[in-house]
Amino acid sequence: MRRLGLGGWIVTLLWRLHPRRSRGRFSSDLEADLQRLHDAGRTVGWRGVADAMLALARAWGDVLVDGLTLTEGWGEGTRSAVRTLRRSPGYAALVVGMLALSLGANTGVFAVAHAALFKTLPYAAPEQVYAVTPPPIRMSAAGQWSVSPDFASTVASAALYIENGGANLTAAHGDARRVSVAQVSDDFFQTLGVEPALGPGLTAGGADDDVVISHRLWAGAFASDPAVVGRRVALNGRDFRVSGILPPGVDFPVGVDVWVPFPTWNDFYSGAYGPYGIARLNPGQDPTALADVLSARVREEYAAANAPLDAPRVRLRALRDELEGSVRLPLLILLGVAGVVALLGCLNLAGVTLARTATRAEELSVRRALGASGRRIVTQILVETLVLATLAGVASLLAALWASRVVLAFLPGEVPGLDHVEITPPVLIFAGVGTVVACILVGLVPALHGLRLGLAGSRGDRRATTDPAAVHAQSVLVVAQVALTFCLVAAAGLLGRSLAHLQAVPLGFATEHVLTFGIRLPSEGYPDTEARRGYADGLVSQLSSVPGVEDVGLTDFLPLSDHWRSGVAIRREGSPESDEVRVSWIRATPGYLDAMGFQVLSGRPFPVVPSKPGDLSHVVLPRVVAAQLFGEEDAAGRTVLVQDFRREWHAATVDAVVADIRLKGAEGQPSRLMLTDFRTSGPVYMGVAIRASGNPLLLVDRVHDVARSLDPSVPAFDVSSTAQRAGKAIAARRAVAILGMVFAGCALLVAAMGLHALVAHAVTRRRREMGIRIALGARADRLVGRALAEALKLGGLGLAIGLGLALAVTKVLDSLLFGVPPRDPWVLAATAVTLTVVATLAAYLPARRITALDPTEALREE
Amino acid sequence: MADLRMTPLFFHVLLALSDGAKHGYALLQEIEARGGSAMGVGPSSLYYALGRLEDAGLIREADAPAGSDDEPHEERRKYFGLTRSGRTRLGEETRILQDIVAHARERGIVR
Repeated sequence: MRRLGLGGWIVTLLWRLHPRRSRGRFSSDLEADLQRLHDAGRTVGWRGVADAMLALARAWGDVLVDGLTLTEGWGEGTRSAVRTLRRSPGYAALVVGMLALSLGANTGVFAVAHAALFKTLPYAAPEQVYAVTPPPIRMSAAGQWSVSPDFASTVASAALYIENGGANLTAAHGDARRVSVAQVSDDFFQTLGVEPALGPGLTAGGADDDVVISHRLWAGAFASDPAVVGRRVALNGRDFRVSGILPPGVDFPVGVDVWVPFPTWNDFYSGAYGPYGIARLNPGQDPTALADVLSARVREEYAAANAPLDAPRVRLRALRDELEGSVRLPLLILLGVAGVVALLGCLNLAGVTLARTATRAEELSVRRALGASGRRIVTQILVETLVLATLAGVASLLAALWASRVVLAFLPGEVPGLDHVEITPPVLIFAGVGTVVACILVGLVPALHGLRLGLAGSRGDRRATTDPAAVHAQSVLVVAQVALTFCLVAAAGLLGRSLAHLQAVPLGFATEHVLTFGIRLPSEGYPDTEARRGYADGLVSQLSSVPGVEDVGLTDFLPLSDHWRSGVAIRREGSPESDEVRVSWIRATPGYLDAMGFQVLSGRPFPVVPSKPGDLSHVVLPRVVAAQLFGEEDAAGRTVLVQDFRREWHAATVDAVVADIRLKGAEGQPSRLMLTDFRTSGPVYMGVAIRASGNPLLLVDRVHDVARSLDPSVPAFDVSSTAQRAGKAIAARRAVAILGMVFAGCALLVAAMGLHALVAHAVTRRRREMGIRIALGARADRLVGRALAEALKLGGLGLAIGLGLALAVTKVLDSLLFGVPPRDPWVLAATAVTLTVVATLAAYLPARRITALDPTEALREE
Repeated sequence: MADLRMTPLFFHVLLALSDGAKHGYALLQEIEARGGSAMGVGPSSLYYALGRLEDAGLIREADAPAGSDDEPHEERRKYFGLTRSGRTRLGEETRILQDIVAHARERGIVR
C-alpha cells in the first residue's frame, strides 16, 4: 500500500463501502489520484473526507431510489406472476409445499423454544433473582433455619424454601388430591417478586396455618371460586387456611401448588429437600462477585466447625436458567437443525428456480427484445417468488401449529410454559422474517441470472440455455445441499446411535406390564407402625384380588423417582471398617421383587417373615455390591455387617444376589443398594408395584378405586407404568434423536431432489449434443456413466465439505450423546455411504433417460 | 436511465470533457481551476459523478489522446470522453443556462 496520508486512507476506505457497480470500476483510479494529490504536497484533509462521505451517501441514495422505482412495476408484476405460475402448477406446488413445510417446522420449533426459553416470567425484574446453593443459613436453638443475616444484608432480599414433595390435600367436600408443597421463609414471595392475585398471602405477621395456593390448583380443585380465600383445607390431615391465590404462571419451585410458611410442621421434613435459597440482587450487583464473597464467608465459618472437610462453594444461578432446566440445549439444537433444513429447502428451490429461469431464456429474451427492461424481468422473477413465498408463509402457520404439537409431544412436561404453545406476535414475526429471508434466498440468484439472460437477449444471443454461469450456480447450490445434508445426517446418526445405546442399557427392572404408584399415610389416623402396617396389608390383599393383577409388592423407594435415599455402610464380616461400602438402604417385599422383575442370580429373597420390627438380619444385594464385598465368590448365604442409622453394626445374612439395578435410569451407574424386608417396617411413604397380565395402564382406575375404598383421604399418586417412567427419564434425548432423524430424512430427500433436478436439467439441456454423440456412434451407457460421474463429482465435493463441517460442529452435541463420541467414525462412515447411495440413485434415475434418447428426434427438435 | 438530473458537478464534468478525453486527475484539476473548488469537489465525488454519467450513457471510457501528459511508468489510467448523447445533453443544458442568464440580464441583475 502506498502512502496516501490519513485523509487519503479514509477516503479509500469509504470508497470500499460504495455499491459494487461504482466501487469496482474506479478504485485504482481513485487511489492513483489520491497518490498524485499526496505527491503534489496537497494532503487530503477533512474536506476530502467530507466529500467522500457525501459521495457515499449519494451513491447509496441512488440505490435506494432505484429500489423504489423497482417496486413501481410490482402491481403489474404480480398479475403477470400469477399468470405464469398458473401455467406451471407443478413448480408452484413444489415451491409452496416445500417452503410451507420447512418454514412451518422452523416456526413450530421456534414457538416451543420461545414459550420455554424466551417467555417473560411473571415476576418483577426476574433477571435480578438468583438461586443460591448452598444458601448461607443459621439454625436456631429450636432447630429452625433462617437466612444468615450476613447474606441477607448483602442482597436486596433473600429467602429459603424447602421442597416437600407431595402432600394429601382435602378440601371441605370431595376427595383428597395429591399436591406438591413447598415451605417458604417470610421473604420468599418478596424475593421472587410476586404478589397474590387474591387475598393477603403469607405475611410476616400471619398465622402459622396460612397457605397460599397456585392459580392452577385454584382453577382445578376449587373451580376458580374467589370465596376460597379464608376457607379451611387439610394437608396430610392437618388444618390450614387458604390466605391467598397466586397469579397464573407462577410456578416456583416447579410443580408446587401449595406454599406454607417456613418451617411450620415437622411432619413435612420427612422426604423433604432443602433448604434452598433464592436471592434478589441489588440492581447492578455482580452475581459472580457475590458468589465469591459468600463462598469466602462460608469457608471461614466452615473451617472452624469442620476442619478436615472442604467447604462447599456457593453458586449463584439465574432463576431463568434454573427454570429452563434440561430442555435448553435440545431445543436450541432442534432450532438449529430445523433452520438448516429450511436453508436446504431454499437452496434447492433456488436451484429449481434457476433451472426454470434458464429454460425460460427464450421467453425472457423475447420480452427483453419487445422492450421490457432488465429491471422489469428481475422484478417479475422476484415477484413470482414472493407470491409463492407469501402463500407458503400463510400455509406454514398451519404447519407450525402441527409441528409445535409434535415437538411438545416428545418433550417432558417439566418446564413451565411448555404445556401449551400459541401463535403469539413474536412467533408471527419469526414466521414473517423467515418468509422474507426464504424469498430472498430462493429468488435472488435466479433473478440476477434472469437479468443477465435478459441482457444477453437484448444482444441477440439466443443460445442462453447452455449458459455456463447458470450451470455453475446450480452446481454450487447442489454442493452446498449435499454438505449441509451430510452434517444433519451425521448428527442424527450420532443421536440415534446414542439413543440406541441408552435403550440397550439393562435397567434391572421390568419396563413392561408394571404399574407403580405412591401412597403417603398422614400421621393423623396412622400414628404408629402398627396402623401403617395394617393399611399396607389391606392394600396388598385388595390389589391382589383385582382381576389382571399378577403380583403386588411394596417398597419405600420406587426407581426413577426424585426422592433421595440416605446411605448406610455395609462390610464383609471380619473385614476392617475401612473396607466398608456405602449403599442406599431400600426396603421391599418379596412380592415387590417379583412384580418389578428383579432377576435373582442366586439364593432366595426374604424366605421368612421377620419376627421383630426393624429387623436387619436378612439382606438382598445387587451384584455390584456383592462383587465389591466378596469378589467372584457367591455372596448368597454369607454374612455381612450392616451399620444402621444409629451407627450400630448388625450381622446380617445375604439371602440372595440380584442382577444390577439402575434406579436413576440408563444414564446412571448400577445403583449401590441394599434391600431389606419391607415387612419389618411401616413407613409413611409406600411405593407400590403391580405386575399386570396385560396393559398395566388399564388398571389405573381400579388402583384409584382401591385407594379410595381403603381411605378416601389417602389418594394414590404418581400412578404410571415403569415404561412411562423410563421413557420420561430419556424423553429429552429421545425427542432430539427422533426429531433429528426426521429432519435428517427431510434433508436427505431435499438434497436428492436437488441432485436429481441438476442431472435431469443437464440431460434435457444437452439432448441435442447427446443426440449428435449417439448418432456419431457413442454408446448410450457411456454417456450415462459420464453424466453420473459428473454428478458424483459434485456429490463427492459436497461430501468432503460436509465431513469437514461435521467434524467441526458435532461437538455441540457432546452433552446429549451417550456412549458415542461426537466424531464417531462408524456414524461418519455410515453417513458417507448413505449419502453416496442416495446421490447415485438421484443422479442415475434422470441420467438413465439418455439411453431412451432417439438421436433423430433429438436432432430434429431445433 | 437516460433521465439523469443535471447537477452542477455533472455539468462541470461534461464541460471539462468537451475538448477531449481526460482522466480523473486532470478532470479534478480542471474543475478546480474553473471554480469547482468552491463546490468542494474531491476525488470521491468526482468518481461518483463519472459512474453516474457513464451509467446514463453521457460519457464513456475512451482511448488516451495522443501525446498525453502521462508519465510512461504510471499505471494505465482510465480516460473518459463524451458520447454523442453526452455532447447533445451538454448543448441542451448550456442552452438552458444561456436562457436563464439572458433572462437575468433582461431584469438587470447582471450586465
